[in-house]
Amino acid sequence: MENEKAFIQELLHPKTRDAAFGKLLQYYQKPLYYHIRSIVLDHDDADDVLQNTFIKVHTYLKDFKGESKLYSWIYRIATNESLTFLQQKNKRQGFTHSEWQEKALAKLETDVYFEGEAFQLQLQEAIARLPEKQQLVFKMKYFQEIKYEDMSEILGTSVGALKASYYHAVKKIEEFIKTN
Amino acid sequence: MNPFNLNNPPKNPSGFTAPEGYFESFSTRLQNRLEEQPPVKSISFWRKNAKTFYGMAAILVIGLGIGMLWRWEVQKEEEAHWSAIASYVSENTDLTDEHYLELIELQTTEVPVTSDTEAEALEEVLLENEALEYSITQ
Repeated sequence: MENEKAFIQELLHPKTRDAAFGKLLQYYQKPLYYHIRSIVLDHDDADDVLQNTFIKVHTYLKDFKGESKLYSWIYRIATNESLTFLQQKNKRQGFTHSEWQEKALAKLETDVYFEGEAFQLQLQEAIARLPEKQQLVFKMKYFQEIKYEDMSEILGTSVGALKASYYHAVKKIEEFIKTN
Repeated sequence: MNPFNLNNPPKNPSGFTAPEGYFESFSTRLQNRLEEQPPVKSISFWRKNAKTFYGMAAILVIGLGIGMLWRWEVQKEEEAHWSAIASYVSENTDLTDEHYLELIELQTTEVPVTSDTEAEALEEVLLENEALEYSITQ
């Protein structure tokens, strides 16, 4: 987003806040939706989390100190909201993360809002076998094409560690696809 | 079927889609939810840091409690110590309670000494405290 400082001022000023927030929504709703969806897998859950994310952004924008990019801050909120949503959902339903993933992947095959072919389903199965943090890194890099520097700000992990994590994730996925 | 290649992903590698018109209606639905949100109350410094203050208060109370307990224990010990001495003295000496009291009085008598009237003051004290004179001269 061009001229971020000026845009943040618009977001904070009472007279320009609503219009600026509308612009923010238009700019981020799609990429954020797909980022959240890649974590929670289900459309209805992604819709809930996306709304919660923007409500949090709207509420806490006045506390945004500009220590990171606006983009990183918003994505951090979206990522944390997604992970918290899943934790709470699994706790309510008495599932472990792996159990939830198994059920969600099985549901994906008949999901109206998943038009992936067999190999895309296989990719999701391969991703599900990775450690949780590695899954996140892979999804953000491969599906969202987020740069390592931005990912580092969002996840609070060094660029080197992220690159290593992605490299190992790719190797494991390739191995899974080869043998399955 | 084309083999899947991570280095050459398809157009929609994740396979996820959204319902038709979802993004067009999203801002309206979000706006409705924002209007339903209660206003965010500002939290005072004290409430914001309530946990810290409660923790500090708890540490203070525990610290005072430990201090008081220690003092009480020390006092008890001292009382037991003096009680043991008193028992020993009464069992192993010929000192009566009166002698004992005299000794205590002697110990607590302050002898004021000044450079100018040192001798006078001493004589005065000795005259007033016969028991002290007796114990010094014997």
